Amino acid sequence: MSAEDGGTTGRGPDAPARPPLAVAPLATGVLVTAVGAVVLAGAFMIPESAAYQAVGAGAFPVLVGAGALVVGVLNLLAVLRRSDTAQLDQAREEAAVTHWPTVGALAAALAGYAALLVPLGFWQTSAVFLVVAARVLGSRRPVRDALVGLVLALALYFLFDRVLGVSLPPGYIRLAF
Amino acid sequence: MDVLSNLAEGFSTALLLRNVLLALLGVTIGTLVGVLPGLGPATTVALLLPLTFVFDPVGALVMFAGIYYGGMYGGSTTAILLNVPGESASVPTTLDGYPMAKKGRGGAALATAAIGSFVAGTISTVAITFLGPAMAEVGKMIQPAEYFAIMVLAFVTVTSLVGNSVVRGLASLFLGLAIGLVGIDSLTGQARYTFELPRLYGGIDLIIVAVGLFAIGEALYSAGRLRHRPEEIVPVRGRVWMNREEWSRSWRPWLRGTAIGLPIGSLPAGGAEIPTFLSYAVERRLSKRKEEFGKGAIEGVAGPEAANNAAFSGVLVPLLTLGIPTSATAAVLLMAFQVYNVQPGPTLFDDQPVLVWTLIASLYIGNVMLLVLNLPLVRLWVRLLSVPRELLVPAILVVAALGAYAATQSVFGMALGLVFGALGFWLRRTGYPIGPLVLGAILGPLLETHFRQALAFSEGDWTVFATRPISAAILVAAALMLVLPAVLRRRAGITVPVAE
Repeated sequence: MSAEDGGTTGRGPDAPARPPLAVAPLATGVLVTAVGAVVLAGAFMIPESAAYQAVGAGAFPVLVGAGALVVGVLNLLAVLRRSDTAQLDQAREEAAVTHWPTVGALAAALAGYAALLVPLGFWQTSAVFLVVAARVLGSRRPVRDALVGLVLALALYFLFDRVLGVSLPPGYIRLAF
Repeated sequence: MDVLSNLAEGFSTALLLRNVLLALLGVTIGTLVGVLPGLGPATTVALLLPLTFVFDPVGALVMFAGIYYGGMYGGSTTAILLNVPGESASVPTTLDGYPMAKKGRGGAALATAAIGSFVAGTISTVAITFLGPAMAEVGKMIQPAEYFAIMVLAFVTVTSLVGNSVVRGLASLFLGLAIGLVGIDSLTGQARYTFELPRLYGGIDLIIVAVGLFAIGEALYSAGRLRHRPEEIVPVRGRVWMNREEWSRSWRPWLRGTAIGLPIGSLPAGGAEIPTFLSYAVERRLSKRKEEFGKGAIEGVAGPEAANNAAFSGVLVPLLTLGIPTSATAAVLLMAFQVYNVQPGPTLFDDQPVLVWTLIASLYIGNVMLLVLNLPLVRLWVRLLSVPRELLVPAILVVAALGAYAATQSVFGMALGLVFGALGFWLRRTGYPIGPLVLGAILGPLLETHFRQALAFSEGDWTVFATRPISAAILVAAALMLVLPAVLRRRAGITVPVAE
């Protein structure tokens, strides 16, 4: 199976017509395969504790792990053979379109948001996050963003924390409320 | 008569001022969030799940039924005016809805969508009223082996019919099943895949999975494309109403759409994608003006919108009576039930009659409310379309963060939400549908329960699934569903775009 797409036949006459390897879908294939392997390996490590049961806690995970492993490998094969044209087309389009600095900066802003949520408090962090994220996404109107951020953050905080009773972090330094 | 007296009971609870207000709140928030570009019904319901932490089950589910419907109505507005379908089931609406809007008939397109949805929703709710209890009776007779087989069939249909690759759909499904394994095993009390983290003993909170995959993932995805695709909002000129000709061209597609959407949606194998695409194809075939399709034929909006709403309602039948959601949105709705330890299934009608009948009664009420909200007030919603993306995306993320935090009352929840957000972004970007993952995560534990019960009854004999005729037949059907779409697709060259 893999001999024909392993690249050993190398630079055959049809080599230039072959589309380049799609890296992003490859990564997803690797992820699914790895999850399958971990689940399968983990399934065998679950001890058979209860003898009175027809099947123990490990039986179903074996099926899930094996299934994920098989599907993951099929995925990898499809990527390596360039047989899933729809996925290839999408990968090409996405690669051309995705603006990574924006995605990265937004992800970083989210990580900071999570890190500061408890120390700084929900509404404070949320308001700051909204301004930062809006800036990352191309806004050039910080005053408007700050106003929107404050109103939204305080409204959510009061609605959930004070009215609905879902407690949200108030922050270590209590400002006004 | 029994059904009618139950329904009357339901109405008596649903019409309590409090529940009417909650239903109104639900449809309003649902429409409001659903109309925001890029937020489909599943994302809408997921984002609003934190609201379940604060209400009683009946009130919350009345509200969530409203959100469920409202999110879909809102989604058609973006499909028509922005050419942005909120979910794959709305794709057919864009094919003729957007051209209609460009030709200045946006008002008529919105009107036929709203009225068609109302007609379909009401007919379907009547059907649920009678079909639901009957299905529940059938459901009680289903043995674990058959239950397992039905769930496999549901998985397979949802997976192989969404998106354009069975393998990618299955990959998503198995990731979901793996997520569902994490936590203490309910039968033996053994910890599985918890990696010694006490926080994982209770399993991965599905609200976090849904919020992360749908809301955060979608936000990251649209952030990456923000600089690339400027959308053009088509303003609605004239009244949101139809002229005589448009009425006469609409009513048959509404009924046909309902006739297609309701039965397919009600099967424990349906979903809403097939009916809408099928309805579009049927309208096109039956129309005398085929050349208008794709350029703004009102039938192409009326039929699929009715089919979508009928299927959306129909999906509630397997959800309530078997506990099997057959769409991503229904899976997220199931999470709202589970927050209250209400497990939908065959015994739900007996155990929770007040809840079920109030819910069904509130569907009638919600449909009327949505008609009112969407005809005269649609201009109000349209203005939401012009909320700048650079503010909208951060606002969604703040609400998502709140949901992820509140689900576990910890930053761990939010961090997990970010991980799932990254996963959702990546899957979306590489062409893997999210729906099967959510379905696998929420139904995996139930699938395992039936699997183990069936094996316990057979005393460990694994052939039980193949030797019981009904179970075997259903599994064969599932196997066919796995192979057939790929064969048909290869022949016809049809692809179903993935929006969620």
